[in-house]
Amino acid sequence: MRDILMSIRDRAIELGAEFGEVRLVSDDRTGMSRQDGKTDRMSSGTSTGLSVRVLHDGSWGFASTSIVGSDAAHSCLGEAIAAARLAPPAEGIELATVPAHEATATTQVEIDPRSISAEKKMGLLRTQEAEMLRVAGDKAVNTTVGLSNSVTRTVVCNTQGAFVEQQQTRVGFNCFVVCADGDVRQEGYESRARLAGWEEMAAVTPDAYGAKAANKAVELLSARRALAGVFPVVLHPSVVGVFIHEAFGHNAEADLVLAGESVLEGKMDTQVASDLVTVVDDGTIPGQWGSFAFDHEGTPSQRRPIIDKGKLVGFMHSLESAGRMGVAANGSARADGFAQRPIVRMSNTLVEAGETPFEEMVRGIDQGVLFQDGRWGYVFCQRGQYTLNAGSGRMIRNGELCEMVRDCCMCGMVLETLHHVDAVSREWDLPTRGGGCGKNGQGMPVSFGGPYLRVADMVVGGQDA
Amino acid sequence: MERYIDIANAACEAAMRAGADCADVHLQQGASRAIDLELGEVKNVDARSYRSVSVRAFSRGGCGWASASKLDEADARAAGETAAALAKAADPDPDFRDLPVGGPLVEIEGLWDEAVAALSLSDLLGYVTPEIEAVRAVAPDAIIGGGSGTWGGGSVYVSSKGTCVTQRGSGVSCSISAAVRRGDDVGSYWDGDYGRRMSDFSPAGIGKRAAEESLRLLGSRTAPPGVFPVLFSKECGRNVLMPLIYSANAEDVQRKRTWVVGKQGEQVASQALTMIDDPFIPGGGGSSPADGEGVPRKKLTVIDRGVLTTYLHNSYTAGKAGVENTAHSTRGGISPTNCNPVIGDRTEAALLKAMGTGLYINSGGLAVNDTSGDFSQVVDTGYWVENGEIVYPVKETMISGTYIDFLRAIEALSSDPRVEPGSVSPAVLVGMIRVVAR
Repeated sequence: MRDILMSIRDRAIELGAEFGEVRLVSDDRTGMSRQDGKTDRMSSGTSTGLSVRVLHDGSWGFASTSIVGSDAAHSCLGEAIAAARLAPPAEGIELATVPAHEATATTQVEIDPRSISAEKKMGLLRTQEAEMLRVAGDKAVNTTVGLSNSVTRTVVCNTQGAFVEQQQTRVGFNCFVVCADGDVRQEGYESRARLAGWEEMAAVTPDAYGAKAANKAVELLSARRALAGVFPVVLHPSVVGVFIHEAFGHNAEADLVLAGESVLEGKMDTQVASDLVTVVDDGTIPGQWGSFAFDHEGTPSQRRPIIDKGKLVGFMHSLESAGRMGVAANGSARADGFAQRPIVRMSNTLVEAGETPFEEMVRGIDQGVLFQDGRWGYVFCQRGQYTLNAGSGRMIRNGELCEMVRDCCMCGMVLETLHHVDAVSREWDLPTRGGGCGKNGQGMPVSFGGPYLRVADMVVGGQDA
Repeated sequence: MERYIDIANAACEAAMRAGADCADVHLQQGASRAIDLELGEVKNVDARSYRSVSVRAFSRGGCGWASASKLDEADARAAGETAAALAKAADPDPDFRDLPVGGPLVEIEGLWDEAVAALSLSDLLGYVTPEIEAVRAVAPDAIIGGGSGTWGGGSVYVSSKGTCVTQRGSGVSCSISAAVRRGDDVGSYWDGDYGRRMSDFSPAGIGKRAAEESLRLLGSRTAPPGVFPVLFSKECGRNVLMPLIYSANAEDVQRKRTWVVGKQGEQVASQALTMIDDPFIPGGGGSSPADGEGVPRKKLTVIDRGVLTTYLHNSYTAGKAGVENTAHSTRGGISPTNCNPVIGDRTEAALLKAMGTGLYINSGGLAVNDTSGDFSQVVDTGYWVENGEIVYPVKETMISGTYIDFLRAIEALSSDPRVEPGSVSPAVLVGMIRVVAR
């Protein structure tokens, strides 16, 4: 296959491409789940395909196929060139260059998950399921536990001289429970997802997942609805993670900056946040869901500083965005499978720890909310208006944590919120529950976390007055 | 298509030979082309082909799945054998009755159009170019994004019950986003159009609308907090009703994980709301003659003057409940087809006047917690309205409450919906809702 990939790369140059890249991706995955006490689904899947991307007369052309072979690959190249030629000739794009290199990277795996029997995997799910039922008792109306593992092999070959083979092994596991009490119905969810082998699942204990999910759902049955209004809030690391990824992180993706779609355009080296805030995107953390050795343009992964003490210091880059901005590529271009183009993506996005103890952050609030269990969010990058959803929270009164509140959303303008951060905790967490990010129709494994943040005032969309 | 039927049958037979009690196979293949824009210029041009086969096998009700991206007989057979082995390893499921048997299918016009499937990348460029110019005519400094795409392909469904359904589908779409910036003040909006056949595709005007609306959204302020009526425009009216239909999924109900449990036959919305699921709309985005298990589709009134008349079923949930299958299987899940509200008798403009003072929301949806039935939603784009007149665009404004209260507070649906293939979206006026703002 190496010969085919290299022949495509060489032929791209002969056909006049300024840059050419061929990427081969094969994927092998299995999954199983249990629901309400019995097997729900057992699954297995494979996929293989390749894509060719060319830069020709300043325009990008891309083609993909699930037929893997020399003829299909050359046909793909022809389609990519034809596609690029369709666009009117544009000003040349000077891509950043990465020194030519050949490399192989494989996830460090102690126990290959493919070697574990279905019965052993099912045993883990049964244990978690039993724990959820033990804790939730007759309040449990629906339990679901699932487990998946995958091995993905990606080969990137480009005209800058990169030939990179990368094999990533992933394991993931989740528990979901719905509890009911009369007409009140609430849910609990916990998961663990690692770029690693089965050894990571061996570390899964029932009390950390099944019991925790069930406890959450049971507690929420008696929780009040969140208040509506503008309050000082403390955000749990899991909510901070969603915030820094969704509300801020997308704005720091250089392709969106170049497209005029980011509130950070023109703000490099300026203060975009409280000087308590430092943000990095780090694709090199061992085992973390958003980590990788090389991005899908063959650039080595890195730790990317984004905000340093409130000042904007960097963006996440592809070869193109780095070239257009005149900086070094930093390994942020990834693609969702063979049939998608690499685009700029986050990896593991983090706010760094501060110095304030959590208790002290809470002590400073007369009436506010601690939001926990970050779930989802989104942002309109151009305007900077974002929304966040948290699965639960606790009221804060007179500096004390009080009753639990149910899930709700918050909203704000991202740069105003970042400026209104008035405390950053010394406690810090990077959840290992795994996460997916959607952009331009492509999903991508990511993770996010940080310390507790206190924001002076945030719009809270609760249901109670 | 004959070759693909043979491959699908080979996979199904392999599953049966490997010991499955029954099995079905879904195979699809096709191609897509797309261009996308950056700053009003063509940025990327893509051509893709795709193909996949998935086999579902059952043993004593236990289910196994296997899929592959290759479409040769050997790989399809291997997938069939794997699915059967997984099914045998699964626990028995006494709630599983059997795979359904297909039946005569209605022919639906406009799901496949040779002309759409033959569109070239150059044709797609021809759709976006005048829209880019239209944006610039309205807002010369607008930041323009969007693109255009087309797809065409076919699918085969076969089962060990003798069902065989082949379908072809096509589609073309075009969207334009426009953003205008005045210092830190930004107004942005997008619009789009799609069709499964050329006669339903008319993107002309989307650029102008996106540009005009983005200008109108400059100068946003926060709305006053309180409890007010809210009018959802025809751009998003249907979006706020669909969570009810998604919640009426019989599997979620049987698993007791949705707020809709026990609500069949109950008044879940105001009498102003009737919603009909119609899979036979010519050219409809959700139209198809058969569901994902090859069962002939049916037209169904899901909400009748506010009463939830039925849950949506597949063969498994219908068998478990002992009721008629409504043919909403996605083969592994349940989904509506083209579910649309029956429109009202006043225009959107008349409803705006009638609302008096409140919020007018013109994009987005409603984030309903399907388990609890609570919602909490930011206003993506909208306006504050006084005395029936739009006063200013809003920001940092949210609405919240419980979804059943929201549905029961629906006062009217407009008579002048936005109509897209398979979708009818009127404006929806809802009585008092909590508005949260800075």
